[in-house]
Parts: sequence; structure tokens; C-alpha cells
Amino acid sequence: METQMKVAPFEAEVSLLLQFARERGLEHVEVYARRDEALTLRANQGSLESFQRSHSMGIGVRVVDGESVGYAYSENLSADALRRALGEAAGNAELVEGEPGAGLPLDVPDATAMDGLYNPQLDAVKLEDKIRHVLKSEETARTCDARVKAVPGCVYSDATSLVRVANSQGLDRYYQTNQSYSVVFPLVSFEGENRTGIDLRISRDFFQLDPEAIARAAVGHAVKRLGARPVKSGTYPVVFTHRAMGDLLSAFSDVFSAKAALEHKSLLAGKLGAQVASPLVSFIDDALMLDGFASRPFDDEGVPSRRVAVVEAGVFKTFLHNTQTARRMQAVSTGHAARGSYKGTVGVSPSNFYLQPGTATHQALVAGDGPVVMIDDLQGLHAGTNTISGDFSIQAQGWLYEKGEEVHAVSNITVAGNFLAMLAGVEAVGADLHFYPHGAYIGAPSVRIAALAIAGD
Amino acid sequence: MKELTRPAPFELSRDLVEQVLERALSRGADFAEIFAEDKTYSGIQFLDQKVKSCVSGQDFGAGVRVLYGTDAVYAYTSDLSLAGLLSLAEQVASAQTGIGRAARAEWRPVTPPVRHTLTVHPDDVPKTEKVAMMRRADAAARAFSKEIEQVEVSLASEYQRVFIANSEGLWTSEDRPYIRLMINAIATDGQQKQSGRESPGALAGWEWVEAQNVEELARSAAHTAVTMLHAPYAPSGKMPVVIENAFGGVIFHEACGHLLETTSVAKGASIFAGKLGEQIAHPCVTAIDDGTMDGEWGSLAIDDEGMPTQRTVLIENGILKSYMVDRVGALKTGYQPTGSGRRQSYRFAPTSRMRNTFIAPGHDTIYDMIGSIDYGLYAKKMGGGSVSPGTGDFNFAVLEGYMIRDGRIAEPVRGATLVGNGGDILQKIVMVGDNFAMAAGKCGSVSGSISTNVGQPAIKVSEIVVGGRA
Repeated sequence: METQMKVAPFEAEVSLLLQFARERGLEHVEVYARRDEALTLRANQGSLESFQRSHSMGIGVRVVDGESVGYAYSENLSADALRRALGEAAGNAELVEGEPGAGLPLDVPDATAMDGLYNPQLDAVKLEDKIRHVLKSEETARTCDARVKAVPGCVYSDATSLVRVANSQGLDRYYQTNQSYSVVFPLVSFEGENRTGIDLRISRDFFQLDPEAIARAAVGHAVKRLGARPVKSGTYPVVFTHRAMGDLLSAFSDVFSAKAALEHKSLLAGKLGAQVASPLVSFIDDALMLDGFASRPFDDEGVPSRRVAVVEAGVFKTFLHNTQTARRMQAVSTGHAARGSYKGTVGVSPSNFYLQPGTATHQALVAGDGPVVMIDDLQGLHAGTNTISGDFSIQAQGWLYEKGEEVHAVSNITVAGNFLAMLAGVEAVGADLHFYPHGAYIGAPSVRIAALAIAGD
Repeated sequence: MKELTRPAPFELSRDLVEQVLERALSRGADFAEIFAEDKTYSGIQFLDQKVKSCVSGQDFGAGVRVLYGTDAVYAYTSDLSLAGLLSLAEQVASAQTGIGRAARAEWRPVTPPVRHTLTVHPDDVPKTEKVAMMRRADAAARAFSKEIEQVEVSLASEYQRVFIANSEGLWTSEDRPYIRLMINAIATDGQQKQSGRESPGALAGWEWVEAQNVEELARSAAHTAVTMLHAPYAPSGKMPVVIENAFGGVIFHEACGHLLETTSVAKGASIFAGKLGEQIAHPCVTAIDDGTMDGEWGSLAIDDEGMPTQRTVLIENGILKSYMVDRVGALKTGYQPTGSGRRQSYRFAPTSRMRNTFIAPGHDTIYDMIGSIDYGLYAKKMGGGSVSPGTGDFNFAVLEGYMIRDGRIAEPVRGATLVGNGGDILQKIVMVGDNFAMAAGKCGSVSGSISTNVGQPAIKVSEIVVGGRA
């Protein structure tokens, strides 16, 4: 009975907006309400350099008029501001030209309950413990190795988000999720050479984050990059570590979007059912993964989440869809409608998206008589990738291997290729699946590519 | 011309501000500040030859910052009621306990100059008129070549009203109208796709759009896309490069500008830390960060800490003259603030950021530069880039490039990136041209995404790593 008594979040705002909509005779109106609360602590030189708390909330309104859609948002939640937002959205719908398939989702099934997304114990952790955590990881990073010159980034953060989606067709649901993360970004210096490293861990259980382990891993990562120099320009077998592979997948994740395909911006347009990658490659998107940090019971228009095989053994099975793209491509929504925030329009975005791990060991990945370049870090992904052509040319650092042995660290090189050609050239897939938060939660194991162009000396 | 009446400033009530600042100071803080914002936004996207989306909105909220020494505590909320703001002030106050005894000073209201050039508010222009302009741009790009398969035109206008008050008695506000037009053209031959874009912006109103030659901008974007479609891949290796004016200034922004912000200098994480007065660049390089240029995209009358902006000479004839300094940066380094404290919105604490940042014009001509190179790259249009602050390693994309052979511009090449190090490249800028221009961009950093201009005349870099595929 107690849960029945509880007032749902944004109850007043949602019911006011739907009431205003009825008064104006608007029949297809959706309300997306979101509240975020976060704490961010940064440590530097033994003191708490910054302390930030945030509370934000707002409402996005989508009005559908025939096949035209108008949007408006407001962070001002007064009745007048909500009425104005609804009026703006209705006016914008009049201006926008209709597009086939536009409309709210219909006959939406119930979503799976996902109680594990919100851990109430995280909210109960004392502020002092969080401050102690970030100071400890900064101190460890600064003092655990004489080569550490500075710790430009040492951050602890936790956040709680609440999303409610309701529409004039009677859909109304919400969920709450929280998480904490800890990241250390040290700068090491040895004989005039500066290198940075990073370690980031994310959990719904604060006590799973070990400040000393994170700091030592980050420093170890930076130190391992010392002694770096370019390799000779040429074509090499390349191993992307899980970190670098995750970065690449994140940069190119739009190629799997039906919205991008309909806008002629996807390399995979027209390739459904085709072999687009090596048979070793399978991509999964699973918003229901319990230990995922983009997990959610339903997407940003209320459609239930499910596990989707996007590429299976190299064969392209489906784009990621929202309601509209699915209608336009005679498919079923995969539950990937995404707004980013109440300010955004409904697009398509992956949730927990990953390259399925294989069985190759580290030794197998770097094996061979000739040189193999292992790439661990990609800089300037946004500038160096063209998601429309699939071409990339990206500054990279990593290590050079010969006969299966590490020879020296590598920096100041660029690695270049084409995303689809690269997927076709996958020779081996490692077992070391790791996830990184990139907006979506993107995961990959280490992967060996037969040949890529490296520009160096 | 009719003189515009200045609208009443956006302010919170004195009584409310006094209560909030006093509460924020109550546990011994040295400084307290409130930043409130009311921003209306309107965006139209034109794609597939029709109005694809249209979004309006209001951002509304305030941030309260207190300092204990150089330690900053920041909190923000979209609840601007007295109760909401007092709760926020209590949270920042209770985050630390200090020994400061700062009391709130008497108010010193400051009315800053007007930096924007708005005469026609974009919200007063019928949206149908805006769409008609976008349709013209779309048509011009498609008319350029049959290979143009997609054109995206978007228009975004923001009217940001900020109010800033602090415990030192500062009481000030500014209205900042931003307007930006973006044209993106995609060319295809059925197999490959290449894109080109133009995206000018200003601190102005609709009259600025009316003064743009939108057809010419659209043709320029289409030209890049079509030219690159037929271009072979760029070669790899070290070579001399001529980087054209305007958005070419992204090289200085990324490779040097970020390293001159006290955000990285104070941590010793910049290769330029502690080098004031030293020769850090070739003597032909003078670089400036200027917030005072009327109507420019990166200008503002006051920074987001309420300090009047200024023209800051960063490098003069190769010698490092100044960093870009915000309040906390000044406390940490001892350098005077330069009006460089900026933030995307009330959701961010301010930090040192760029405004209109550029390499000042020199005396060389583009012909002299190209003519001095036997084999190299001419980077006519640059794309975006990034830099690793600790090391100064940077990279950025060449959107439209050509080979230079025997002192002449030769065939176009695609897919090139320029890779190097900030400290290194400044010494290698050996010629500076006379064709100065600026271009609008969005710069993302710890205090969010803000409007900045980059700029330069054409420059010659004696040697840089070009990452290509050939």
C-alpha cells in the first residue's frame, strides 16, 4: 500500500501539461521529464580542489501533428512556462514538414522492472568517505612513483538520474538509476619526456572503488608509455587494446543507427543481411545488462529495452531503431530512441554496446615474425574520423612488438584506415572485454587487424 | 538609424542575493558568488530539402560558488526560489569549514559596455523567413554539382541573459545574443562520400544573417565536398605545410591556446608554465586573445565572473607575454586576471578560457609561402582537433588539402591530419601572411562548450608530420 501512496516524480508538471494539451485539442503529446543530481570532487596537491553539487531538472515536450513533430523544453517549471513550452512545441510542429513514420509509439508493451539500476546504499555513503577516497587516490598517484610530475586529473563523482516518459496515449512510466566513478589521470616525466596515463572505474557500489588500486593502475599505465618514439612509416599488423578499440567503436557507433542510414550518413545503408565484417566479429547492444551503466528498462519514448544482435559472425542483422525509423524501414523499434536530455530531439543511440569477446590470448594477438604495432590510445578521434566515409587517420600511442616481445613504447604516429575495411581485416579477437563510458557504455576486447597504415618517421 | 533601447537588466532581487551570499559565506569562506542565467534558444534544422526539426527552449538556473583559499565549492540548481537558492548556499557552505572572515561588501553596480551588434532580435523574425533563407542555401549547394546528395542547413540563435554578484560588492549583468548558421554538404559518387562545411557565427542578431552571402557559403561547402570526393589519399610523412587563414587558426587554439590557460598552467601541466618573458615561438609570431571585438562570436563585455574583458597579448614577436587568467587561476599563480573566466552555463563553475584567439597578421603573401616549397601540403580548410594538455601533443584534421609541388598548388588530397607538439610547432611557424581572417567555433573544456573565434593569416610551418594513407 505504501508504494501506492507515493507521488510519482514530476506528477504536477506531467498532469498539467497533458491537461493543457487536451484543452488545446492536441491529441499526440509526449512529456519527457528528467531530474539529475550529482556530486563531483576533484583533488589536487593534497587538498580538495573543487567540490561540485548539481540539481537539474527540466521537461521536454514533443507535439505530433499528422507527420510533423515540434519540440520545446523548459527548466522553468512554473505553470506559465509549461504552457508556453507546449505552445512553442505546437508552433514548431506547424513549421516542420511532415516525415513518414513520425508519431508516438503505439500499443507499447510493459517494460521489465530493473530494480538493480538504483542502489540506495550509494546515497547513504557519507560525504567524508567520498572526500577521503579522492584525497587518498590523489596522494597515492602523487607519491607512488618518483616519476610522477603532477596529477592533472583526480576525480570522484556520483550521480542519480530519474527519467519519466508519459504521453497522451496513456503511456506513463519512470525509472531511477545511480552510479559512482573514480578516475585518475597522472602525468609522469622521465629524462625530459612527458607521458600521461589513465584509469577509470565505475560502480554502483562505492566500496568496490579502491582508490589506491586506481591510482597505481593509472601511474603504471603512464610509466609504461615512457621511452616512446615513432616507428617507421609503413603498413603493419595492428592490435587495438580494449581501450583503443572502445574509442574507435564509440567514434563510429553512428554507422549502426537507422536514423543515420535514412539521412544517407551511414556506411551500412543497403547492407542488411550482407557480410560486412570478418566472421570473428559480432556486435551486441543490450540495455538490460544489469552491470551496464547505460542500462534502462525502456528507451526515451517509453519502448521496452531488449538485447539486440546488430552484427552476428560478420553479418549485418539490424540497425538500431526508434519508433519512427522502424516504421520507415518496415522494422520493429529495437528500443533505442534517445534524447540525451530534455533539450534534445528523439534520435537513435546505442546503450550498452559491445564487440563480443573471442578467445585469443595476449601472446596470440602480438605473435608473428615481423613487427606488430599495439595501439592503446587514440587522440583527437572526433577530428580524425569521418563517420560518413568511414575513413580515419588518428594520432596514436602504444607499443611495438617483435617476435611476440615488447620492444619499445610508441608515440607520435598516426594510424589510418577505413572502419569497414578494418572490420573485414579482423584476424583475432581477445577475451579481455572492457567497457568505457562514452555517453553510451561501449565495450570491446583487444583486436588484431591484418594491416593498417602507420605514419611515423 | 533608430537607437535601440537597452532592455532592463536581468537581475535577482537584492534581498535574495544578500541572503544567499551571506549564507554561503557563513562557514568561513573567503569569497562567494552567484551567477544566474535565463537563456532562450531557438534552432531550426533543414535537411532532405525540408524543415527537419525545430526546437525552442528556456534554460533557467543559478550557480553559487564559494572559495576557501583556492579550493572551490560549486553547486547549481534550476530552482530560483529563495528556498531553493538558500538550500544551495547551505550546501556549498557546509562542504568545508574555513578560517576566512570575508564579509559581504557594499554593492558596486557596474554597467558594462555593449559588445553585441544586435538590431533585429531573431525571435521577432517569422520562422518562415528563416526557412526561406535556409532553402536558398540548400538550393545553391545542390546546384553546385550533381554529386551533392545531401545538404544540411541549421540556424541556431540564443539570447543569454546573465547576472553576476559577489561578496566583494560586484553587481553586474549582460545580455549576449548569439547567432550561427551552419551549412554541411555531402558529395557522393555512389561509392564514397565526402563532406564540406561552413559555419559562421556572431554576437549579433538577424541583421547579421541578412548580411551573409548564404549562397556563396553553400557553394564553398559543396566545393570542399566535391573536390575531396575526387582526391586521392594524402601521403604520410614529415613535410612543410601552409595552413590557410580563418579556421586554420585552430592550430594555434589547440596547440598553444589551451596550454596558456591558467587551468593547465597552475597545475604545472603545461609546457609553457613558468616561461613568461621567454622566446617560445619564432619571432614572426604574435598572438592575441581579445574579448573586446564588437559583434564577434567569441566576444563578451564581461566574463562569467563579472570582470570586463580585455585584449590580451599572449605572445609578442615570439616572446611569451601573458597567460589567460581567471579568478582562481590568479589566486594560484599570482598573475593578474585577464577577464578570461568563462563557462557554458550556470551548470559549470568558471575557469580560464579563450575568447577570440588569433595569430596577428604579418607581411608575407600566400604566393611567397607556396612558392618557397618544393614538396609539401597546402591545408586550405581545417577541421577540428584536440591536444593532450600534459604533453602538448596535438592533432587536427585537414578538411580540404592540396599537395604543393615545385612551388605551386597541385592536386587535391583527402584524409590528411596534422600531428605535432605545441611547443615544437611554435618555433616552426616561419612565415606569417597578410590575409588575416577569423572563424567561429565551439570549444569544449572543463567549464563546458563555449563560443570562441579562432583566426590567423595564412602561415607556413617548416616541418610537420602529415598523417595520411598513401
